Amino acid sequence: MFRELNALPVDSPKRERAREQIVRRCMPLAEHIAHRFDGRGEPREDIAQVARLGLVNAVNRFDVECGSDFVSFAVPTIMGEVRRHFRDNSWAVKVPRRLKELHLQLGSATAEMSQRLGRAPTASELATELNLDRGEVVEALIAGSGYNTLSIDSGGGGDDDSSPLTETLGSGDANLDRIENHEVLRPLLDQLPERDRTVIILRFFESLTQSQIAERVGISQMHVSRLLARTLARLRDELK
Amino acid sequence: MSEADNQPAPGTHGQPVEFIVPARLESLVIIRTLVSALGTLEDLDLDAVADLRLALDEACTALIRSSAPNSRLTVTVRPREEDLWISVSVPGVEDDVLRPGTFSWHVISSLTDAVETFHDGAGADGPARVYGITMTARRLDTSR
Repeated sequence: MFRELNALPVDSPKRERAREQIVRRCMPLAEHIAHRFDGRGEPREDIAQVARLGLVNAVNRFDVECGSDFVSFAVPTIMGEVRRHFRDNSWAVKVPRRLKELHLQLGSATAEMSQRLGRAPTASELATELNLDRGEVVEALIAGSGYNTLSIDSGGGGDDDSSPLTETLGSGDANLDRIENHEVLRPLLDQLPERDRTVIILRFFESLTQSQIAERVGISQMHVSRLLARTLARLRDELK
Repeated sequence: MSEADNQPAPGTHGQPVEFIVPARLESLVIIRTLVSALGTLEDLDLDAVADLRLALDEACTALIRSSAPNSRLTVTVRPREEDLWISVSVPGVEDDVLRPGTFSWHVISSLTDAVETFHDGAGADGPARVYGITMTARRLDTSR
């Protein structure tokens, strides 16, 4: 059949019909493979659909001249298609994606509410604002900070697109003298990338909240948190 | 609209939560995560939660660095009416790991509402002396 198919000109309706015939004939193969993925949490019809698509791809790509029979070519192709479907859509990925969406929603609500309230909101306030369940909000916030935690440790600059911040720094420097080991600390602070130093000074010597710093510097509060964590860790190591 | 504002925070119902982790820097992730979960549940505002994470990093790093190998670090979180009280401690540390006036002290006291250090236990032949740091994070005054 494949030889017949290949003999036909590429665009001919006859070839199209021959192709369809092969696909129809092999359909039980796709159904059979789809059946093997039953009960893994994806709708059965979706899997069958993906398997059929895999079969069509296999028919299109099969090269008779290369010697092997169609079935031993088609089976791995269809399986691959179904596996890819699971990888892209399976439960393990779906949940974080949903959480990620929620996380984005929480991020913009947090920014907006901070502006309005003049301070960061609580989980309850966010839940009321977004009309969401409080428990769900708490979980998303925790998941978000967990995600955050990972990126703290993988840290490393790279994103220092710092705007001119120097003029935002005022009396912070004077407050530094109150620190016992300020003569050790000062050169360490001076060595920091500008934005890292700014964020440290605003938080610890000008007593701005993280949300206020976020607004002032033009980054998210979470980013401020990350910068502070990373910079404090660096200073701890150097002051040790 | 939900009435989340009017419900009592369904956190730990005022009961303290205590956990013990190996006194190693790798434990910082667990400490940060659990305490910020508790802080979020207890309805601290998000800035306060973020600050608490940094304060714990600072305090626990100091404790872990001066503790003996294989020691264990105890974290206690006690929700109170006005604030969240947190204690972190390790046994067998004699000297003052965290002294007022240092940058570390300044960092922790900027991030929390109160910092104190304590020594517990008899030392000498008795159970090992415990050294710890306590801090509090105040709840929002929602009547404002």
